[in-house]
Amino acid sequence: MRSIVLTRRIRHYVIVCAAASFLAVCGCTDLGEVTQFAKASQDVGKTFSAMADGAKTSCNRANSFINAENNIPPLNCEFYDQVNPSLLKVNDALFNYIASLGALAADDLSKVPGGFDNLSADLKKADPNISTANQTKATAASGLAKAITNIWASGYRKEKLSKIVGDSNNGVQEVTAFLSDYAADKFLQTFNEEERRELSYCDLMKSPTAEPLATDLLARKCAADKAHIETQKAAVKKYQDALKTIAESHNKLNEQRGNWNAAQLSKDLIPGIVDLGNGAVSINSAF
Amino acid sequence: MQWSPLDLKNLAAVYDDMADQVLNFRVNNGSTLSQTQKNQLTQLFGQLDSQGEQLENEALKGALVDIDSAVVDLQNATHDAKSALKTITTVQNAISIAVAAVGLGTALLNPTPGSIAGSLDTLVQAIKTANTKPAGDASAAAPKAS
Repeated sequence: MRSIVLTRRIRHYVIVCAAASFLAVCGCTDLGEVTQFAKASQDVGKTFSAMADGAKTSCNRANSFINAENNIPPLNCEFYDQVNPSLLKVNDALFNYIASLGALAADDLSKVPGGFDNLSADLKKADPNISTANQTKATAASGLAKAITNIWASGYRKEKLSKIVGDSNNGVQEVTAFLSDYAADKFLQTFNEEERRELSYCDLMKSPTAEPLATDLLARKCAADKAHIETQKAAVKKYQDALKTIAESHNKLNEQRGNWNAAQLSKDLIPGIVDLGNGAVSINSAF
Repeated sequence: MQWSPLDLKNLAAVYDDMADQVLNFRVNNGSTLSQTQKNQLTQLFGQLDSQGEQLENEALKGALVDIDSAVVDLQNATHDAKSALKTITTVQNAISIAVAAVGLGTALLNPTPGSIAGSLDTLVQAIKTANTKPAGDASAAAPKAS
């Protein structure tokens, strides 16, 4: 009789453990790529401040080429003091939004305080005489509770993410277009102005009657400065490319709302994630 | 007539192109130009460049006003996402408390030395955890320290 009861209990624990494992597996979400996409985007978002500072520095440098020979009107560099805080706010709104998507999509709930994992150990600590069977029961119960919570969280996350992505898609398209077409383009214009004003200066300051070594040094300095400005311009273009990737990726998420699956998200987002990572590295090395 | 930000931006591009053309003409023909002609071309180049800059600044200011509602939308969406994450944490904490309470119930029905106190401690810990700050707050895109 005792043997039958024991067998029944073991079977019961096996079923509970198997159910917990099954639920845990089914509870996995398909949104890992969204989290990776958000992380890669953050690296790009953090470069904006340095670019904005770089544009102001470029503006001041452009004005340093004004002299009696290169007598041209100065650029209005104070404009950056007025506009940069607003531009940073727009950039932060976009990348904070992307970060919140990534946090909500995160598969890993281990950082969410739960206390499930410690229950069995806590019981043992509280009652050193607790039977192995009761400890196993506690482990199975806490595993099941964790799995059920994860399943609920998975469904809830998908539902909320889907709604948020749908509601925000127009905003993301508009803000990325603004940051690329107006903010980053303004930076590019300033780098172009620096480049042309220095070209004008270098051209006017070279003189056939000047000492050859001085002429050579000036030419080398002008060429080196031009190369540096080109690097900065290329970095701003990388930022614009990254914004385009973000806009397109968000659009794909929006188009497939309700039908997200790991394979499709991987296909749609992984190339963009790689581009974003490379773009952030290029921008960081230029500023 | 009211120029749109896009009109102003396109005009700025035209002025920038003209500034480039004038500068390139001066640089490419420097040996044949008189000093007076060079000075005139330099002044013209500077004026075109500055006007392009002013037009671009006006375009950016106008576009900033236009984008304001989209920025507010994204800020609201960020708030929604954070609230959803908080809800997940709250539910998980509630279930944690329920599991701990079950442990306490078992201890009450099958008392052994220390089991009630220990299970009660588990329940208290679960409630304390539930009251801690929710995890997963998305960190802001902090500006890079320059």
